[in-house]
Amino acid sequence: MIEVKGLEKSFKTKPVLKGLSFTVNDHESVALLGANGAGKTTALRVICGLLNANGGSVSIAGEDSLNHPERAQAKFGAMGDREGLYERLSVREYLTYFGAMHGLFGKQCGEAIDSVVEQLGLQSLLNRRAAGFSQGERMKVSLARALLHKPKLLILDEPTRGLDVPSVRVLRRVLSDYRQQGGSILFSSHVMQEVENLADRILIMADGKIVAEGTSEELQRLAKVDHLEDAFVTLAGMEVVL
Amino acid sequence: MRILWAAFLKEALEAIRDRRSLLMAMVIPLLMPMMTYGIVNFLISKESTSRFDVAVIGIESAPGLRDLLESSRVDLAFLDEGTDDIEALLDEYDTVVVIDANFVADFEAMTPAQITLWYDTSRSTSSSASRLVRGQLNRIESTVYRQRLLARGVNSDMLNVIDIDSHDTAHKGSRSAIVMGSMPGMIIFAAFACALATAIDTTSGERERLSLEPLLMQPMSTFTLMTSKWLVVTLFGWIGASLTAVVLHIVMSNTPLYELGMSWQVGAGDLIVMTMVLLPVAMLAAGIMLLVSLSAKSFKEAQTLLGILQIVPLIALMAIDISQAKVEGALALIPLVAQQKLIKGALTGSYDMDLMLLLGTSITFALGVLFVYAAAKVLSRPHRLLSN
Repeated sequence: MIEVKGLEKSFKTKPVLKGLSFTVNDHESVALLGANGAGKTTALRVICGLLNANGGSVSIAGEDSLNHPERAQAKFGAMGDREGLYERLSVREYLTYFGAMHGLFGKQCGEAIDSVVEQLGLQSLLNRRAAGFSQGERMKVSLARALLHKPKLLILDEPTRGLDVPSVRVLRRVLSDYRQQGGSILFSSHVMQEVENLADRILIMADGKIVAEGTSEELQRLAKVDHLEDAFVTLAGMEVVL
Repeated sequence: MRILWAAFLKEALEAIRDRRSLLMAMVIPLLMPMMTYGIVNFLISKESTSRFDVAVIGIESAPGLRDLLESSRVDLAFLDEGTDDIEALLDEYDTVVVIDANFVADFEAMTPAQITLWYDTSRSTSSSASRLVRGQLNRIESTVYRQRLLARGVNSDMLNVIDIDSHDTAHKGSRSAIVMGSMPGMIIFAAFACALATAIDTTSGERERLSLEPLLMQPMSTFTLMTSKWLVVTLFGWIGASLTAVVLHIVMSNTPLYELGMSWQVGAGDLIVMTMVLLPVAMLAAGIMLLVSLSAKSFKEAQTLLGILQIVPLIALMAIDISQAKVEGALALIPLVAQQKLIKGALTGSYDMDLMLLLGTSITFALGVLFVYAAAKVLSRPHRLLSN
């Protein structure tokens, strides 16, 4: 689904991604785990076509994301870590706008909105303008936007950041359903519990590249510890790839 | 095309629901014509009340002057001789005329008869009144010396070295064009001012609200995105400027301009022409404001930059108007200059669309498109626009 090879990105003279390489297979959920400044957000932004790369390649469902970002962007849904909504638009108007960008118009768009609204329990918010929405409500609307065109891949940057427990549970349920329906997920997170629950495979990122990867158990075994958090702390400072 | 329409609808909906954008687009078209109305009415009131109070001291020394000093614009007050406090009198009168006690004797002896004028140049009415009285006295003097020469057998015409024959060809319409010279600049300024808040909100505002990032992750070209924003900003500027012209028309039609010897000859056809001329103006204004606002580092910086930007064309157009430069040839190709001329023509009922003006209009439009393209290019390299 995603194939990242030798990705490089520098801001002015400071290299942030140093030959980042990994894959996300079909129907797989992959977590990108890393300390602040490891390059997770930059990596996701380059993959999503928001930033140009200095080298390497990114292929999403066979589309070259670096040279033809629009083609690749049609293949996935994405949600950033700090997303703003249009406070003067209702949820229905917001989703209609983003649906149009994915070729959903009229009745087809209405059906897609109804489906995603039901899935996320957004019925009571549908005709309300976004001004005054809670963080959890905002997350749900953003996730609805990402899921609207039924993409085969979701890219999420720290999706649980700033959410309360009920909102996290909603997110977890929706992503779990999405996986069961055969979708792939690439997400970044700081929350170990989230990573353990959602990820089939974990990529530990440090200093702009993947330093370790595997399941939670494989990583703990490699680091000779009993918890994923300990494994992460140990492995993030190592130059070992499993 | 359907994506562009959907994006346009979203931008329009957001802009209409933005109080600041609406307020700017509504207030400017009311404020500017009202300001002009105030200025014109001030001129009218000044014109209609321009009678002067003149005090004359010592008329008993020259009773013959009583009738000669009378004028339709002067109210004369004849005071007794011995009034010494002239400065106090100048608080009450615009000018004080003091006739010397020996006036008649000097006059008869054909030596210069003394008249003293007192006035205060710090007051415009005092200066005007003194000019008026001086002119009146000059006419009396001229008549007397002609009579004296004639009595001695000298033809006074030989004193006329040059015979000046002057004709004022200004008709009411062209006079109104001189007074209303600032109006095209004002209407063009409205195209910028009415679109300013929308331009900032849809670019810097979008970035500040963190809604730009999800937008740029969608499969829509940045040119389509910018075009949708451009169309909405253009619409605000266009409607605002057109509304300014219409309100100005309503206000001026109900202003007694005839009191200034002028007339307002703008009809519905002229307003339609103005509206058409304003479209490329609004397109250019929207294009450049979107580009500048998008390139600004923050919402506040965008406000500052666009605040300055909107005044630049106003000043440039006023400079062209004041210099009375003829708008033809290459000058007509400068963006907005052709439109200024066309609007001025529509206001005076004498517009002509020649090739250069047509080219100038096309350049204004093309520049607007170029700015949108440049803004789309900025959006396609969003690393500078995104928050860290």
